[in-house]
Amino acid sequence: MDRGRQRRHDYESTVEPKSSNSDKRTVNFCACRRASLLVLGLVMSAVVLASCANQVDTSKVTKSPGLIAVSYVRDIFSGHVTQAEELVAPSQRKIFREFASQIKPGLVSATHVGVGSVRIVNKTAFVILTGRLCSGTTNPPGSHCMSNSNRRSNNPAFEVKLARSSNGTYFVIYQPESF
Amino acid sequence: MSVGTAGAFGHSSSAASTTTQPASTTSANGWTNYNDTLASLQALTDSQAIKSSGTIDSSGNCNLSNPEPPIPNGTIAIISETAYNPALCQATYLQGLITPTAASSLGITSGPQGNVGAPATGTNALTPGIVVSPLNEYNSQVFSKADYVDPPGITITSLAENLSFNYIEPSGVIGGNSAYPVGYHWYWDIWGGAAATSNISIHDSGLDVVANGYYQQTNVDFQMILLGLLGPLAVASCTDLGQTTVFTHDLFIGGAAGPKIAYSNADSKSGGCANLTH
Repeated sequence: MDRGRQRRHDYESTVEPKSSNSDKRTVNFCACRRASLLVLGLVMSAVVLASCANQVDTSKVTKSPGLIAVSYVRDIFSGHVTQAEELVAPSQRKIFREFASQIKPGLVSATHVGVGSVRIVNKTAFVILTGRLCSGTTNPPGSHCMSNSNRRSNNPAFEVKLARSSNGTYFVIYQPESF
Repeated sequence: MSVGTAGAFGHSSSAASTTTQPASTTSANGWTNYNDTLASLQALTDSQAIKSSGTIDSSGNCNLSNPEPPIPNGTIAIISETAYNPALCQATYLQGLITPTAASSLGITSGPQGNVGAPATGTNALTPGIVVSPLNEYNSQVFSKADYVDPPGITITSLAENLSFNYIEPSGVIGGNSAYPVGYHWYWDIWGGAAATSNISIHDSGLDVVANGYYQQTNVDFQMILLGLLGPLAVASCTDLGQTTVFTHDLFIGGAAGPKIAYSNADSKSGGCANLTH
């Protein structure tokens, strides 16, 4: 079967070669590692603290679109599809189930997922995530990974859209006009 | 996905679908049902459901025995795959007859035409010298179609084909045949592909004729659209992201002495997010 030539995404973020799957050195770093070094140097900036927001227990935060997006992605890539579905707008859960049923748990992974930036327009939030996402390949069987460390990336693979409900809680959406 | 082997009335079949909108549905027991097939959209007479069971070879391909239902002389038949279960290596088909008016409304009568043999007008074109009575000469047609449909229910690509074949008694020799393939790809996607082609051939010393329609389209933006709509969910659910997506229809329809018709396909798909289509 002709599987065509490999093409790289024309994005600001990085699509890693398959051989780099286990090469941690190519993965974008977590800002918290920086923080540890800075604390040792008795310096702690507000910027670094903000960068560590992705280490907060997101289950206790229900109204932050960025943290909801992080939880949603972590759940999807760790096999917790039911939990991820609860974060999707009820009107769009059918779409979620349709695609989530195709996920091969052993082939996908998400690491160092954090909030890069959040842009809110009216009732819609656009969250750019940082981190590393791996999806499945069939030839050869394995995984293909991509990383993003750009807070303003235009790579749709790292963008989650959310809509604010009437009680202020954000839900993941795929199409506008969810509420 | 299995890729069938060519041959008159003995093709192996694959998981390709035969649906138009809305989409196919896959149940928990592994059956994918194609809800609106070319056959099911027509008012059929003498319709029948056919079930085919195959075997899974060492490469994991499902090789189905192909349906070869008989049809009355001089009629127009449609046959479509209506369900497929790759784990069980089974498929179901719907076959029936339609009127000439319904056949013309299908629009599968133009495009690049495959031809073989001279029109049979009482003389067997393949065995010169045998003269048969015009009363025992029949013309039949068979229509079929194969599609790929994405999860929202949009038909991405399809290939429809119309085979016209003559059957002459008492010799039982096929002669004077033509076939039209019509390829389709979803307008709103960006594509780079080739036109539909059809090769028609006669087998078994003239006892059956097979039209092999072929249509391949390379998709430029399918995975990009899904990434744009779904973001990380597309990353998780798609396989082979970054690889060019290619959809190929390889459709076989046949006519044979009897007369009877035959159907099989060896469609294939590959590349980014192709795993999401049925």
